[in-house]
Amino acid sequence: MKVLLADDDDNFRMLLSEILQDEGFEVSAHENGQLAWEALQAEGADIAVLDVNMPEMGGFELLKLIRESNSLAGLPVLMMTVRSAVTDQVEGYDSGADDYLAKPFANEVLVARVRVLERRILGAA
Amino acid sequence: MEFAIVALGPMLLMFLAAGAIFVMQVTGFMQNSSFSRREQFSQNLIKQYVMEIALAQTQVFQRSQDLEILTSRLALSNQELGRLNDMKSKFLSMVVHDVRTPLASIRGFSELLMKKNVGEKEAQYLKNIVGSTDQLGHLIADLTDLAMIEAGKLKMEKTLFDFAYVARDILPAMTINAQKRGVEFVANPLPEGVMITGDRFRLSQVLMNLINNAIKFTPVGKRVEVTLRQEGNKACAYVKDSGIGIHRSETALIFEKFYQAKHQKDEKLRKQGWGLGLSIAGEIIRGHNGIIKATSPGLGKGSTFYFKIPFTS
Repeated sequence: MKVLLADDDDNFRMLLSEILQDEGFEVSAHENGQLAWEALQAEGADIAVLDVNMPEMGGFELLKLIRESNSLAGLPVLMMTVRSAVTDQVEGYDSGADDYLAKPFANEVLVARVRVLERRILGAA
Repeated sequence: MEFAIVALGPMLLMFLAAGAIFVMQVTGFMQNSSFSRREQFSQNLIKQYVMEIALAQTQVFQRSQDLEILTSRLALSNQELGRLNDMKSKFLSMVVHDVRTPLASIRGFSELLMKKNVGEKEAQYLKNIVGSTDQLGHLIADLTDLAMIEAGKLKMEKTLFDFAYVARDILPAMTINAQKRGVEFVANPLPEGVMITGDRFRLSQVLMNLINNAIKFTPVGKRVEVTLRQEGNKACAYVKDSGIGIHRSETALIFEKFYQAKHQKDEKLRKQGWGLGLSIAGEIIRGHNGIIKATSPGLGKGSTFYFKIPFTS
């Protein structure tokens, strides 16, 4: 199971990679939406975990590209942001995200949410 | 244009006054001593008055000019104040944003470390780090809300939902919190079919804040009771505790930003929290056209916090 990860904070990106790798996921980590988008198109992924605020291309923008593309439209996407306001969460869901996490969060919560998305793929397959 | 009138007015008057004086003097000279002393006296008096009026007019003109300068200065400093307030809001949201990211890393890496083979002591230290980051996280969440309130960006959803969900969503977590603190937690049966229009998540946030406060300020073994019910065309929630209570003079003040109860002798209890939760709760309830209040029979005698919101807010 391959997770595409996009977050511009080096420490946090490393942390998330470690957490997910510890759980047996293959991780492809990128520091902005543009690089993540290029990687997605080149090698694909099963699940995407995206930060909302990133330079070059933010999470919502990337999400829009994913939803509008032919081959990747159904990719499960988990959005992460430092904003916790409910309106932002609604914005997250409205824009087509499957789930939404506000930083900081417990490692287990991230893993649990990614597992839910994983089960959805396995169930659908 | 107005300025020209203001400036020309007094000048015109001064010309008039000078003209009057001239005429009076000429006639005085022509008629000479045939005038009685008394008439001479009144003429002098009129002359004096006219001069005084002209002087007063120039003074009024001077004052109104001063006033204009002051007004424009005031407008400038008002502008500056508005700009500073704007900057404060921007600063706040920037800090909140930039603190959260490293905080998330600290929390996450500590948790990650805990999973590695560390000793008992080290595990405890790491637990403390995680606990502290959570505390900071809550504070920052409150500051985010505050920043949004200040910027006028705290928006309420307006959807129709079952009022019971305001409690149902959070009661399990609250029960666990109460257990951890050794406080008895009672949730009375929730009303059924009370439909309200508003922001379900925000209202849950308010109730959670009230319950958490109640648990925090209630001694071990004492009780916190939550009641949701319909009263007329209002949906009401009550959180009753048997905690430290509130001084009568402070039941309204505690809803103010950054307010810390003064009549509370227990330093440790007093210093808990930042005085933000209730002011945010007040903001949310007001956003629903409702009221939020606290009552207490007195210090040490517990308190009841409640809010009431109309069905269609």
